[in-house]
Amino acid sequence: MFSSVSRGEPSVTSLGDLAPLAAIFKKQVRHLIRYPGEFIFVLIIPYFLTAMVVAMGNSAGGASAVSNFSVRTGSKLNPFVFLIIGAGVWMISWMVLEGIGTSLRDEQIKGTLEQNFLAPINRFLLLVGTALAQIVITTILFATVIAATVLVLAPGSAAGLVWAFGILMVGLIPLFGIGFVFAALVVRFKEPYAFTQAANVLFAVVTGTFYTVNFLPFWVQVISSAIPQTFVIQDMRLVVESVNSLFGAVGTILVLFTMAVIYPFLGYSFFKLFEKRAKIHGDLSKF
Amino acid sequence: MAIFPSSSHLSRLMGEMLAAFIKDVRVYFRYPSLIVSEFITLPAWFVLFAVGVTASFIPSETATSALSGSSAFGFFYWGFVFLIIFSTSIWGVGQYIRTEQLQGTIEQLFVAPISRVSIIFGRFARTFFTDLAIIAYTVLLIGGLGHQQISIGNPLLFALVIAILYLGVLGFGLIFAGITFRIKSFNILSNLTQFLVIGLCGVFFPLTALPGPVRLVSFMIPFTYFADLLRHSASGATTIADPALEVLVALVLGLGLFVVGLLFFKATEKYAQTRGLIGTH
Repeated sequence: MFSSVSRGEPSVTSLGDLAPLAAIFKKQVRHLIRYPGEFIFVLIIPYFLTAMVVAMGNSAGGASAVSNFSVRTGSKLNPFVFLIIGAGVWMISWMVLEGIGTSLRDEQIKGTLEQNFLAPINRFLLLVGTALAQIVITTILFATVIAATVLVLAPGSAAGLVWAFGILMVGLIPLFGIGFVFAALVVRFKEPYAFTQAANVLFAVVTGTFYTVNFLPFWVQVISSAIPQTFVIQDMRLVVESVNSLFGAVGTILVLFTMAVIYPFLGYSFFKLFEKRAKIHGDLSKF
Repeated sequence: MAIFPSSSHLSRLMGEMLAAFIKDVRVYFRYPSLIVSEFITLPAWFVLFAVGVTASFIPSETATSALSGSSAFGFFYWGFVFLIIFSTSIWGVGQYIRTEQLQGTIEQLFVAPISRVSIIFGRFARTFFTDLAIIAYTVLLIGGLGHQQISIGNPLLFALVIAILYLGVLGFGLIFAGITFRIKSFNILSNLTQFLVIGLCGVFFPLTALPGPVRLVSFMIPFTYFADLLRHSASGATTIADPALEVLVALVLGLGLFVVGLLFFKATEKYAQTRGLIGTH
């Protein structure tokens, strides 16, 4: 499906052609662990934000805050667990989208982008290798933020964690597709952080990070339903609350699978469109 | 005490500051996507938390005694306004040194016949106006989308509190700018400071939510009183102490922060010059 479409870009026809993927993956992981201070900070942020919302909620709701929470959200989960699932998924999507979206920009700044584009490998592998490295971040964030919280505050829900991780992984694939769109926009408009920051905070608002999306106006809910994190957060909360709820979430999991097929394809097509334009206008070396 | 070493005349000082302000405005408008991002991101942060709390924890939009008599929405809105202004100290004033270091212009500025404090004032003035624009824009946005009305209960007191707050913010920003000469991990320190102020100064939840010993720490931070008075002057929320006394305390603390900030910045600047650390980052 993702074979060569442009002259000079080799196609991926055999397993041997995937060797660069491992090299790109290894390089990306090395870059990630090069700055441990920043990564530790990323692990702390979901805890801080969740604690802040819980403190604010308890202050605002007074003695009935927890019961209000249960009624308003329709969830029996401990509010901290409910909220940290949203915060954890949000932080994961932030890291993934920024990681993929700004990877080309980073290469531009380092002066290695043109060399990479001249390398005899398929461009798709460059993006996929970067995306695959995000699985490492996702797993670490899931374990240290979501799983750790569930095991401490709701140990009875530990079984749901396996399913929750599975849902997260499925949700990661369409997220890669959105990441490709981000990468394309960065190649076109430069200034990656302005774009990714605004998009990531807006994603938090519309995907129900700290509430259920039912509270949002209808037109916002329509937008929410096009973003995979909305379903990931919703379904993860359901299976952590009760594994039996998985059957009720089948519909949205199917939507996630559909997104997992369509979004990467659309994202990469979008990227190729902008890449072609960048090649013609010489944008790849401009920043 | 030569705080402004490069200028002894007020008119020259004003000229320096005006030039620094114009330079910063020009740089600001050079990156329109960052401006758009700022105007999207900041209100979005507010909506995220305000909706998170009001939608999930409280049955309806009512004033609660736990929030010092404010409505939940009003309580969070004024906390948000405080946070925007406080952020100026870190991302506006404090980040000035790091920005110039990264751009490679810090050493040229040090040999220019202008005080660095004047340049910082220029940036401060620019952020003051952009803060006001974002705060006003957010009011219009939430008024239009969320049908929430925001009003200021005591405009005179509000203006005084804003002036005190900005004085403190400028002083703290100068301290932060001075620290930037010595530290490498600016972003981590900036985020941590911001989180600590949010967590300890009653910005988004009342101090009564904090454990006793932590509350004592809160009482030692000037920004606790600034946030408290800002909310009181705007929405009539009850204060930590008698309002008149608290205004006096805040004024002294604001002035103190400003003077300490100036002295600290000058001292660290001199230290960096002596040790050859100006461009190190």
